[in-house]
Amino acid sequence: MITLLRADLVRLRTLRSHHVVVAVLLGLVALITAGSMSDAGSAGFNSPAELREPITASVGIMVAVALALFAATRVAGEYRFGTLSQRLLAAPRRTQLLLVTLTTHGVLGLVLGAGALGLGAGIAAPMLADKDLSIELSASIAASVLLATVAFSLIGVACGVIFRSQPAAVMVIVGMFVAEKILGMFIGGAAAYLPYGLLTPLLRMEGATIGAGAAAISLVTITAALTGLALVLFNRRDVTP
Amino acid sequence: MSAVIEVSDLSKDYGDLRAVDRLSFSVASGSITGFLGPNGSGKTTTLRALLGLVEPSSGTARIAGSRYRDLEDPLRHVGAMLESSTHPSRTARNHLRVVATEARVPRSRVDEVLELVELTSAANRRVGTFSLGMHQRLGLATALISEPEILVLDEPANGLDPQGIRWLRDFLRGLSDDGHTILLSSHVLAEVAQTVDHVVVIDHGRIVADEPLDVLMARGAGERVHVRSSDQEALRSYLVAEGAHVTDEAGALVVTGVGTDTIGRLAFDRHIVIYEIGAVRASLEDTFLDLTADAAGQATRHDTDPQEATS
Repeated sequence: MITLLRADLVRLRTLRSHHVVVAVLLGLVALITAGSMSDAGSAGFNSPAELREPITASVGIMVAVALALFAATRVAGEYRFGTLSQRLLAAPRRTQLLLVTLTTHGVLGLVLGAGALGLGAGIAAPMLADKDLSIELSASIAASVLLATVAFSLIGVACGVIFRSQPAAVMVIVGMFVAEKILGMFIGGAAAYLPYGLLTPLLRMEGATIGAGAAAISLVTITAALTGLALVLFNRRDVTP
Repeated sequence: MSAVIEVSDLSKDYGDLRAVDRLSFSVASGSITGFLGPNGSGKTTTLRALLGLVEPSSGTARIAGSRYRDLEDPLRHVGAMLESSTHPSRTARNHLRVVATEARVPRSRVDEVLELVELTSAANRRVGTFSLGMHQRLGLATALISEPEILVLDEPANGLDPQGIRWLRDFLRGLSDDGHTILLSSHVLAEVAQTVDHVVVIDHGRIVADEPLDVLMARGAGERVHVRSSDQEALRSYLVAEGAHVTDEAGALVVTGVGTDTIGRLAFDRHIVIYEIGAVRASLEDTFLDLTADAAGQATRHDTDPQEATS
């Protein structure tokens, strides 16, 4: 398992596009934070919750969704380029291989989420200190943001395995956002329990209709269900050229 | 010699389509076995079942007595070359670094195999820029990285130019001399005719031949004799009367069913001057076409046969 994890890390490190994704995401978080914090202290943008939101949203939503798309395209790409066959030759026990992929992307979600959050907080702190303001980023909120980045990374892996096609997986992840809005018109409050809907309460953003704890449990349940489905399908399906 | 690869009663169905139909054969230790068949005959499906990538509908495919997925440290035992299994944006060296990490072999082995397949100068080029021949060499390097004793190669000669085919032949012969067991598939039979010891020919998912190459050649289309003479029509009628089958090809008679001795004696007795006579041994290609044509004919005669299989 450790060997396979190391190999997957080599795989991640040895494609230039992967470095670009990380750099772009961190750059966007830095830009959003710096841009927002320059307005800090203006009306409607001076409480810790208001000041925190650009950072928690850029990491907990933007980075989380980008990591889901990254994981989905990477995993579905293994079917497209045939590299999955090569991986299965080294690790023919499929459950083990999928656990390796989930671990890689889970850790990536955790590390990149923590890095982006740290970057945002690090940029905001000196800018706010001049104006005697603070974002009051508690451990609980930081944990919620990291849960979002990890969970969406794992959902991305699951979508890649389930759909085995990069366009299909991307369409589902992006389309789910639109679908949730449409579905929300019919199912009302229950829409808060759909993946994107859960991010609002989880990140303690304005407009939440359920508690952060319930949101966290729901997101973990959805992630577990999707990865479980992916595991079943991954074990049952043939890998053909 | 003991069998290191054993396929027993293997079948694979894709819905109503039977891609592989009760296939059984074995590969002896230290041999080079050609797994031949036209496109869509079920070769790739069989090899993928052997490597645990495709689950058989019935039957078994074992390597060293075990299913591939039950092998401890499979890359140590089996090296496989599959069609398209590299990321086009990764360099050759980085691709092999990944495989070397998975196989737990030292990184220095990457440069060794690159040199072995003569790809050192292209090591830092992205795989997407490679020619087909370079892809095939990289596939071989991938298969060889952990120095396995068994090699399973899917269409290794596909797309190679004549120089590349000669290189591959010498390379595989060298591996065989070192004691490797090699199972290689191909649909271009001339490419492997001078490489393999034994052939397994399949068509429509079924075995149509499983024997040493020389036996297959001997029992195939047989000897053909090309003859030009002073009176072709008279000679033709005498040969037909003798029970031979005669056709025309570029001004010569192509005779099967009788040998050069008989033709020479007949011509001498009838005062026909022979200008040119020569026996041509059937090529593996001729034999293969005959075998698969027979199988196709049988498939047409039996409505229950699959129409096409996954290659």
